[in-house]
Amino acid sequence: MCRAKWLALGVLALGLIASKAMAFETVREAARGQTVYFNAWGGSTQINDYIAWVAGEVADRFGIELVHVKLTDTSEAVSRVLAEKAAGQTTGGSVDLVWINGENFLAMKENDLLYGPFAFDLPNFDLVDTEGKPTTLIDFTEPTEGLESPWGMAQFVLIHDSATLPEPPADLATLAAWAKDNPGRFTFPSPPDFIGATFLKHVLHAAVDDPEILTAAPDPATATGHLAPVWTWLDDLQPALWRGGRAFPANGPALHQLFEDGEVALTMAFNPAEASSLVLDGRFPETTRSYTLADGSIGNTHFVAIPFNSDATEAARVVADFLLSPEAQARKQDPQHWGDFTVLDLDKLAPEDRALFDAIEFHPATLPPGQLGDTLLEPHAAWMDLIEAGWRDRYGS
Amino acid sequence: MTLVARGLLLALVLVPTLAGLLGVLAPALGYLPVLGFTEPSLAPLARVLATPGLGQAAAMSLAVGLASTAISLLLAIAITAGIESRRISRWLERLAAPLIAVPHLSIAVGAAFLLAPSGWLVRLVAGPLGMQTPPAFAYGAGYDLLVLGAVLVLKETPFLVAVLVAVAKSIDARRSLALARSLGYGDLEARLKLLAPEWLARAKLAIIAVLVYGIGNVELALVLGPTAPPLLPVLVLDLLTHPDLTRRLDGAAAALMLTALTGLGYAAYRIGAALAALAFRTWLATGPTPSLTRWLARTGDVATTLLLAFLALTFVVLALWSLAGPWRFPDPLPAILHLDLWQRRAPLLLAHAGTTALIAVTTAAIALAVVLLWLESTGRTTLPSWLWLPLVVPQIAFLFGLQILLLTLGLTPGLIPVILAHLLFVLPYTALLVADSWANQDPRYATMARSLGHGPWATFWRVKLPLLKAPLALALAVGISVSVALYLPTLFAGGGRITTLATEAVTLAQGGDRRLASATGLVLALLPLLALLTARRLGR
Repeated sequence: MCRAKWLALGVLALGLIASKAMAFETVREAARGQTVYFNAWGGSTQINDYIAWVAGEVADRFGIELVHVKLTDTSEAVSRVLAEKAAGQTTGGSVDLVWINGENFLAMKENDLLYGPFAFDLPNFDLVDTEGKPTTLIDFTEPTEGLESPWGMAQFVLIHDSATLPEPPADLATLAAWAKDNPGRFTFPSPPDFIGATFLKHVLHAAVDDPEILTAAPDPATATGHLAPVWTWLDDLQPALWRGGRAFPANGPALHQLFEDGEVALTMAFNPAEASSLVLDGRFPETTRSYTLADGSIGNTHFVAIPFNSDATEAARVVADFLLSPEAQARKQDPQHWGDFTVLDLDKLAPEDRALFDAIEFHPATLPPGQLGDTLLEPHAAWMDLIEAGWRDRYGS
Repeated sequence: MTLVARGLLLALVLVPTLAGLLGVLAPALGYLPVLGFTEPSLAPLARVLATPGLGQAAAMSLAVGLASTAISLLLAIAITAGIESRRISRWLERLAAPLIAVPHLSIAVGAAFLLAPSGWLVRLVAGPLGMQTPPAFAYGAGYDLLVLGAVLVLKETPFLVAVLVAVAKSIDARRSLALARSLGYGDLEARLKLLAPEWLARAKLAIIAVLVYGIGNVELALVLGPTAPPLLPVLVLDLLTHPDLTRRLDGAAAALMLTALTGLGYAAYRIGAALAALAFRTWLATGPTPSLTRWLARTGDVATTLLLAFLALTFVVLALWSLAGPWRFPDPLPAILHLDLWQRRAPLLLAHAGTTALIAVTTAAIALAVVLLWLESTGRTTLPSWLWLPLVVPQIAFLFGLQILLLTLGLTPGLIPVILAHLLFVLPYTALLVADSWANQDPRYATMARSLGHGPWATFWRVKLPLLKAPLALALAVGISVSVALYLPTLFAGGGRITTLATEAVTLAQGGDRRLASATGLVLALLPLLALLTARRLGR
């Protein structure tokens, strides 16, 4: 009886997988010959090269032309889709696939600018570590509902040069003290840049007594009180920042440039392997190292989504599925190519696929998965709005 | 034919600009039906007015626009006035065309590194001074504005020189100059006192265009401007691309304010000009002042030389970075120079250069054809002044509205909309250059051709065009260099799908690989220079 039940379940599961694969086969057929305009941040040559590799692969394997539309900010794509909706353009939109997460996803979801749900029907989605990496299903605090497909895992790290700064400040409290002893050698990108905003989220996490309150929208009655320690900490730090806190780098790469130029002693990244790729590129010294704050560090998932008015939804889905394939994910995790951690559950992989991941060597500048310390969750987007607005009021003007 | 020509010009320039302005005005007043805003309201304006830092952003934009315009104008007047009597001016006039062709974005990429506290100038002295880390001091937005202002002056002075020289040629001043000389005035002083006011009056639209660009441009503000708060045009762009879609209304309202700010800037320019006229009148009444004139000329020479040296250094820096291996502070030069980057990035740079050239050449050729059609079929040579509208309104104030218009017409963002958007900015320059030489051509050749039995088109093709070969080739080259440097029109009309060297340079300069940004800046500068050289060769 029991065995029969399991057998039936197994057959059912196999049947589901088989029908899913078969259903996707028709998608692949329809996708052939389509062009996918992939709107993705284009500020990193390494990532651009990776996307160019993907373009070559999907052209060879599926007959899809993938065009990388390089954005300076994902919101550009969001606004374009919105402008198209404003003009009544419900087909033939200019964006077919967009690299997205967080508030941009929320904006597109809330304004019905997304195609789908499609993610759960991708064959390779079954390999995603949805249990170990719950952020693959919940983007910041917003459920994805299959409207976006996970692409990679991010974790916030700080980067220093072990030759000039062998013992970097271990937590936020020491960071403030160290910055005051070394005026002008620390800064962060100005919010709303996501690296700068993420740094402030760490300050927020450290400031509240109960991090649980950050998972829901802030209560206006108590929010000001919760935020007060954030501003106290920043006020205290302000004069010791680079340029006396009177200017901030525009984004993460701009902060990297300041680090490369020796103007600041610390830089930060949302990708644990970024430091090593910059070392390999000859930009950062060999002695560069990454570390996470003892207070814990924020981790999240980034995704790809398809706008509602794309004419290439089949090809876009095939590309999204290919991005989830063990081969593409392993290449992405390799610091030589990008160094972005996988969303897959390695235990679900076939041995030969797993071997791809086991073969990856980590440069000493990268913290391998498992040495990243405690992961903090992204606070609710409304908290970030409060922080960004408050920061602009106080320091951004 | 006349109607077609007129209609074409209207449809290509006036209609899109006005429609774009309307497309911004409506959401600024609370009307954006797609987001459910159908009730006109002043709330977006109120929200923008309450934005922290707005006042400072506006003040900084106004200051940098006014100051750079004033300085460029003074230098341009000094150079133009000296063309007959001073070698340096003649030399600078010859340099004006290639200098106009150098895209400001290339200069900006180099300038940003040259003048940073960890930049080249500091690195050159860091070793002797024993500096191990770059100087850390709390300098505010003023520093960024200074660098931005310098780049603006570098960009605008040659343009104003070209405009003033063209204006000066159209004024017959021989008698008044002869009179001035007989009263003991030197040539330079005579021109400054007798002719300069007239030049300024005739060059009014060009001066407004320079002022509006200084206050309202996005690309230089992005690359060189301060960040906390940014300049007003960047604030507008941030709002128009904010993830919270309802902020589009605020972005439109802010764009409206930017337009108002350029109006305010013009008013300030007029007041400044009136005050300057008072001082000028005193100078006018004191009789010949050769020593003061010499001093003025010398100050102008020093400023011009410094600017040219600054320009040359930015290009040396671009070349160095594009070849640099590791180059850390305080090393005065990179440890290794190699061609790695050029080899690895050649396909990418060539692809972007190809797109850029394709758009630029097509746009410039269409603009030339439209202008010639208009001149030939209307028989007029005075251009309608609304042709300048796209240049005297901040770009961002109508490009968002234009984007919606293009989409409503069913044009998917791509090459064609980009070319149409570029035409808005290329047509006025082409028209200006061509109309001038068209008006100055000797009509007797055409009359003779007609009397020999040639039809109007044969006369046009076989007599008029060959006679104007040189100015037409120059107009093409200028059209190309205008198009090559356009950032915002490419971004909005291309839907981000079209990557040109200019969009790539802005993306990279804001944060990215400085080596690749430098290489992009160099290739970006190469295209217009090539166009200019080719035009010179063709024109011979």
